[in-house]
Amino acid sequence: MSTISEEARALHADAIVIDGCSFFSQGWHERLAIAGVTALQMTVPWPGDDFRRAVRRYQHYYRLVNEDARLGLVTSTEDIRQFKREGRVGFILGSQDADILETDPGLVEVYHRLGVRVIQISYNERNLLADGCLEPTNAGLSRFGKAVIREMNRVGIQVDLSHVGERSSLEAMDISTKPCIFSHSNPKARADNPRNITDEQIRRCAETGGVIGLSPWPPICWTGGPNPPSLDDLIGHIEYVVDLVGIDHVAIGTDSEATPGAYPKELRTSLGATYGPVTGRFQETHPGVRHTAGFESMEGFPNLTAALLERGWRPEDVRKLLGENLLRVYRESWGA
Amino acid sequence: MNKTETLSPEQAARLHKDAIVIDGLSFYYDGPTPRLNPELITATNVTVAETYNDFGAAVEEILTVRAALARDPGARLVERAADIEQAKQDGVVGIIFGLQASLPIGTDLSRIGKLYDLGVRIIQLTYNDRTWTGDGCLEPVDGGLSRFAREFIEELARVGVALDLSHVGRRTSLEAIAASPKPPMFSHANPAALTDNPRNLTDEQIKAIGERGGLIGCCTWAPLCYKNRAGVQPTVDDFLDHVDYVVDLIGIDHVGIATDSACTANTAWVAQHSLEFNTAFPEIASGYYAHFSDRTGITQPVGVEGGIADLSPITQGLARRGYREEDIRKVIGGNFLRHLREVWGS
Repeated sequence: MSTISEEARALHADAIVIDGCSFFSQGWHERLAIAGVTALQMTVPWPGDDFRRAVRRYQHYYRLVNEDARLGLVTSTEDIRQFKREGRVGFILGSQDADILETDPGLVEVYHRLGVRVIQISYNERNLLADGCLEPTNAGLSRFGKAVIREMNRVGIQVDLSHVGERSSLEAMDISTKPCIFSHSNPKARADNPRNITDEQIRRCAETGGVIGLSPWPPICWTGGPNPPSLDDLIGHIEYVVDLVGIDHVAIGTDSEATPGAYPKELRTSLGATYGPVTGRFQETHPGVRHTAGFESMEGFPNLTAALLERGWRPEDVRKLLGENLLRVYRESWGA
Repeated sequence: MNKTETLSPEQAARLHKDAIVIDGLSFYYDGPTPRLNPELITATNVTVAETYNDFGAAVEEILTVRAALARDPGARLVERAADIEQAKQDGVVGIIFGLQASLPIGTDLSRIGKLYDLGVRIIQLTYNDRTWTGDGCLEPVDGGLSRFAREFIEELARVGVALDLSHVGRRTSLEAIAASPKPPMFSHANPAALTDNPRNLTDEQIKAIGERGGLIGCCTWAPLCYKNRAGVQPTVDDFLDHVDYVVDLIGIDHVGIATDSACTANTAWVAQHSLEFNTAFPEIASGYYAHFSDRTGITQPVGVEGGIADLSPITQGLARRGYREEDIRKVIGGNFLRHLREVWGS
């Protein structure tokens, strides 16, 4: 990667930068400073966790922020602005599955009171709310799913539709009265993968006032050719969505570890077993490629800022992509 | 069907006492009860856990039922088909453990074998709502079988647990019939052509289960056989029209009977349970109860008001309609016995 210009460095340092999808922190790590992130939406429960397991995993994050003043817990968008002023990094508690609700829509408010602000309604496979993106049935929302979305709207939890089946996601956007997001998904038109989303999903998301978090995770960033994915591919995804729905509806979800190496091996192994349709073709074509060149982890954030300025992006548009758009959507969804 | 040799009421009464009589669905067994008379009922598929239970709560309920069974000299756990025949010989009632939901299994297939070890022999794929496996009959979407459901159904067959598709969404049930290595059943449901209800079955579902060699337990629960006459309690003849309809459509070998009634004589519990159900799922029960002030009381047709306590009026009714003795034996229990033997493997 070329060196980062002084202008880019200054802009990145001044901007609010939000990683719309991250996971597995073990506390402060210099990666957070290199990335220049103000806040990260953290996936905390593991797929299939019930209430008790989920609560125990959230506790871990309370401990991290209690023990280190450089970290903080985000429960409102004002917290994010405050952390920016104080030079701290905020964790936004999230979940990439809804099994944590068990069979009770009432638990939505309980999680809100525990500080959870983002819930993805399904994860690849079917759950009690919705189909995941790997279900061939592509069913819509269940009655429980609709009840949960109404409750998320009411109490102020962001509806996340990444990993959700196409029809379920469209129905969710139809009934949600608050903006919806795809926290980490790319346009299918450029990167054909079951995890990525159609133009219709992108347009509907923008119509709700929401954002699409474009992602450097290699299997969904790869555009299918002989070259492994690169920062240029990611920028191509971003500009595709900007062309389709405008600058106000893009963000970044790195889908990467907040602490390098913290992703538990046993989870990686168990998830890997069901991941064939997502990763198979990429791994066959590019065995051994684990990173998107130029955006290897969230540490690639400043490279993105520099590259966009070089391409002639206006600074205010870069700020929207880096964090202001997510901040706007969170504020509307959270009501604070 | 040969309808020439009509049985007399006396012959029918003797036949009922001699036959193996199986109720395809009952609930709340809590120990010795006058409602289970071995001269009138041989065995029944008893729902042994509430449909909303998770695994831990379901196991606790099953252990409670096992304890109740241990202090009941008149009833016995059924673990294989021969146990039903033995119960008949010994003059006790056979209790088959069933679940009307896959929620307790969650997404952990190993729990099917664990529930089998506790005695569970019949598991329904979904209740009225969606689960990880598929959609229940009240889900407007009815998305069909999930990927997980296909593994789930394979595991039921491998372990030797019968697959029940009552309460399941129509598309989901059709896909389950196609996917199951062993014939499934609708333990308690009726043709929707006669009583339109989300719980009842289209001709397509009935034919599919017939072609697959499965079974339908025609159900005496009034909201499923009242022919949509609001506020009118159906009669045993209304119920038998449903039996006739299924027999005409798929033949005599694929029909059984089920009451969806309580084993316990604890009427207060039953009234509370009915009220809770009818409040939670008005789509199923409110049409029937529309003109009854009491939404808890009248749940079975005139003539078989006692549900599982006395099914002999059904045998009498079948005889009146000219069913031959061997066919009556099939409908009131023989088909269920054959079906369970086949899917359990013993």
